[in-house]
Amino acid sequence: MLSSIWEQFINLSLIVIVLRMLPPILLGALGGLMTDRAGVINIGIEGLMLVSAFSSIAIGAWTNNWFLGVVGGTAASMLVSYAMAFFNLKMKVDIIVIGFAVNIFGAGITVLLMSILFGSHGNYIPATPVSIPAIVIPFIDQIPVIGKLLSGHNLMVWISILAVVFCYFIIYHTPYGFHLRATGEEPSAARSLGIRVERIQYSALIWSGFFSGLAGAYLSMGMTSMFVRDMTAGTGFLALAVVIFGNKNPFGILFGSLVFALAQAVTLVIETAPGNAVPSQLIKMVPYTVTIIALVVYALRKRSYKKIRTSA
Amino acid sequence: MYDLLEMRNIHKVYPNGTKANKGVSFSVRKGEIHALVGENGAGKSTLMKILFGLEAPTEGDIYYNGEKIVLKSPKDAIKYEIGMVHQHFMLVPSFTVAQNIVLGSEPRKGALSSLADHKRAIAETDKLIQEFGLQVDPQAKVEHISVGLKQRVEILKVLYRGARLIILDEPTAVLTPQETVELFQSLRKLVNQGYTIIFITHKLNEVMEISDRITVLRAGKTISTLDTAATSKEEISRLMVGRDVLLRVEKGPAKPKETVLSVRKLSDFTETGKAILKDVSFELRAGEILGIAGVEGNGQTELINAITGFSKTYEGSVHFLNEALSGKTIKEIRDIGIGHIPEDRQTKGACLTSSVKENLILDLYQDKQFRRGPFLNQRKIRTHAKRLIEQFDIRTTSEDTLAGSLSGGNIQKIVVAREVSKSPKLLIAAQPTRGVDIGSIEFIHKEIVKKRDEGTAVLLVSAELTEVMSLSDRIGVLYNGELVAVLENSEDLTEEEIGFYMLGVKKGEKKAVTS
Repeated sequence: MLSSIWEQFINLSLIVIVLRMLPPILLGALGGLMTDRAGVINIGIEGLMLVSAFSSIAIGAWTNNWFLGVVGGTAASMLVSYAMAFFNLKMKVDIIVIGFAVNIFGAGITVLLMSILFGSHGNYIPATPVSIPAIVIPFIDQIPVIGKLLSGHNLMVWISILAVVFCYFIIYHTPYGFHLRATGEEPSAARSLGIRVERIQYSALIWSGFFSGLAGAYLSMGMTSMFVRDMTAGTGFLALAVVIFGNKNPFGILFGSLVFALAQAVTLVIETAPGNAVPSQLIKMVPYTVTIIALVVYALRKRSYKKIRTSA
Repeated sequence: MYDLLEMRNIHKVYPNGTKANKGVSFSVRKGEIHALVGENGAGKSTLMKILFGLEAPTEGDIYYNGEKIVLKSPKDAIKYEIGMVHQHFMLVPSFTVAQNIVLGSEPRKGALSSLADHKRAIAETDKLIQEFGLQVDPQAKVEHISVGLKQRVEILKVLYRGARLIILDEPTAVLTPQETVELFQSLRKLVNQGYTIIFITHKLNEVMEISDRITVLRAGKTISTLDTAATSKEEISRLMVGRDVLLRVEKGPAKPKETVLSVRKLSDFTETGKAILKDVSFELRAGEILGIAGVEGNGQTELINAITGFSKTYEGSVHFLNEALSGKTIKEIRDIGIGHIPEDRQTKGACLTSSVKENLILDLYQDKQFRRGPFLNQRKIRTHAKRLIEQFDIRTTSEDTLAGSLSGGNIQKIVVAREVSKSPKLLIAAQPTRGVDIGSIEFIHKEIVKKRDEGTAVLLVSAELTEVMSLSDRIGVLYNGELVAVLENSEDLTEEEIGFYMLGVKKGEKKAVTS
C-alpha cells in the first residue's frame, strides 16, 4: 500500500490530485475572506456553494453549455448572498443566524428542486455530460514533468489561483480595498470619513456569493459531472477555517488551501490504494483532523505573537 | 472677524423621545478658538454631530458664510470645509499614518484610476506634516504610536480634507499634560494661519487658557456666550451647573488612626522583564487620603492591579490590616472590606448592558440580603437601588434603565455609589472623576472626603494634579515605576514642586513614608 502511495507521489499524480481538490476550498475561502475583511462574517458559504452546484449543472445541462451553467450557478449564489446582505444590513438580522439559515436553505432547496425537476432525491446526472473544460497547453503538455504539472488541469484550477492574485490586488492596492478593510476594522472611523459602510458590506457579501458560486459550479461540473445532495460535505466550513489559518491574507489562504487539499488528496490516495487495510472511517477523518491541528497551530502562533506585541 | 458659522434655534429630539437640544443658538467667528462647554448631557455632542452631518436637526437652521446649508452626511460637512476630531479616535489600527490620513479620499493611479497610489499618499502626508509642523512618521502603523501622536493624525486627517473649521471633541481627555501643551501650541498656530476652531471640553483651566470666546450650554439650551478675557472660572462653572459650585474641596484636617494598607518593596515586571514598579513602599492609615500623582503610564495601573488582585505577578508584599493579599482572589479582596473605583468605568467599573439596579449589586448579588433561596430578591434589589439613586443623585429615568444609556458622570456615580455604600475600610479610587462633569466631580469629591472622615483609608490615583492636590492629605509621586516622593500636603506645597517630581527632575527625600 505504501509503495503505491509513494509511486503516486513520484509520478506527480498526487500533485495533480491536490490541484483537483484545490478550487472549492480556495474559492470558498476567498469568498469568506472578502466578508471577514468587511466585518460581516459569512458562515453561509456552504449553502451558497450548494445552491450554485445544483443550479450550474441544471442550467448547464438544459442549455448544453458549461459556460452558461457557470454563469447561472454563480448568479444564483450571488442572488442568495444579496438576500443575505439585505436581511443583515436592511432588516438587521444577525449575520450568523442568516448564515445558518442559508446553509439549511441550500441543503433543502437543492433537494426539493432536484425532486421536482428531475424526480430524484439522491443525485442528478445529466443525460449528456456537461463539464468545465480542462486546459491542455500545446507543446508544454509534451514535456515530461512540467507537462504534467502545468497542463491538463481544469480551467477552474487556474481561475482559482488567479482569483488569489485578484483578491490580493483588490484588498491591498485599490481604494476599495482600503475602504473594505477600514470597514471591517473600525466601521465608525470609515463612516466618519464618508465611506458608505453598508454599501461596502453589501459588496463584500456579494463577492462571497461570487466566489462561492464559482466553487459550487466546479463541484458539480468540474470535480464530478453530477449533483449529489449535500455534496459540499463541509467544504464551506473548511474554507472558513482556511480564512483564519491563512491569517486573512490571500496568499496565506492559498497556502492553507493547499494544505487542506493535500490532506484530502492523501485521503483519496490511501482509500483507493490496492490492498488498503486502513478502515475508511479513519481515513475520512484526515481532513477534519488537519483542520483541528491547523487551528491549534494558528492559535498558538497568534498567542506567541500577541505576547511579543504586548510586551513591546 | 465675521461670523463664519451660525446655528440658529437648533432642536433635536431623538426617536426615543430624548430632547438633546432645545433651542440652541451658537455662532463662531472666523479665526477664533471658540470653547463649547457644558456638563455631560448638556447637548454639546449632539450639537456638534448635527454640525458634522452625523445627525439631522429636528428643527433649526445652519448658516455658513452667511449662506443657509443643509448637512445630510459627513461628506456634506467636509464639502463645506468642516472637519471633526472625535473624542474617541476614529483610526484604523492596522493602517499606517498615511493610509489613515488619506482614507476615503485616496490619491489614485493606473487605468481608470482604479489603484491606490501609496507613494503619493505618503508624499502628500509629508507635505501636510511640513506645512503644519505636526511631526509624525507617515509610515508608522497607527496601533504602535502614542495617544498624543494619534491625535495629531486625527488633526492631519481633517486638514487633509481641506477643513477650515475644525471641531475638537474633548481633545485633552486622553492626553498627558505635556501633550496638552503641544496640542495647544498647534491649535494656536492653526488659528494664526486662518483656521477656526471649536473646542469642546469641560475642563475650565483649559477653557481659560486656550479659548477666545466661550459658549455655555445647559440642559440642551444656550445659556450664554462670553469673552474669555472678561469672565472667570467661577462664573462659567456657575453658568454650567446653574448654581454656585465649589471648585475647591472643603475638608477639615485628617485624623489618621491605625495603618490599614501596608505596601512593602512592591515590584512588577512586563513579560519581557522590564520593571514597571520598582520597590514601592508606603503605608496608608485609616482616616487619611493618600493621593498618587504622576504622568499616566508610570506604574499607577500596576500599583492598583497589585492591591486589588488583578495582578498576581508582583514581588514584595501588600498587607491589609496585617493580612497578606497576595494569595487572595479579587472577590476575597473585595469581601474583606476593600472598595475599588476602577480607572475605566466602561470596562471594569460597570456593566453597560445591565440595568442601573443590577450594576448597584454587581459584587453583592451573592449576599444573603439580596437572595431568596436560590433566587434574587428583586424587591430588595429594587429598594436598595432606589435608595442609592436618591442618595447619590444618579440621574436616571428608573432603576431599570440600562447603565450604558446614561452619561459618563452618572455611570461613574453608580460605581461610586456601589463602592462607597459598602462602607469599605480601604477605598481605592482610580481616576474617580475622569470624563465627569463639574457638578458630579464636586459630589464625588465630597463623598470621598466623607468616607475619610468616617475612618476609611483612601488611596486616590489621579492624572489630574489639581484633584490630587485638593483632596489628598499626603501626596506620593510615581515616576517611572518608582515612588519618588511622599509629601505632606500643605499650603506651601505647589503644583510646580510636584511637577518636578512627576517629570523626574527632582527625586528623593522619602521622609514621610512611615510617619
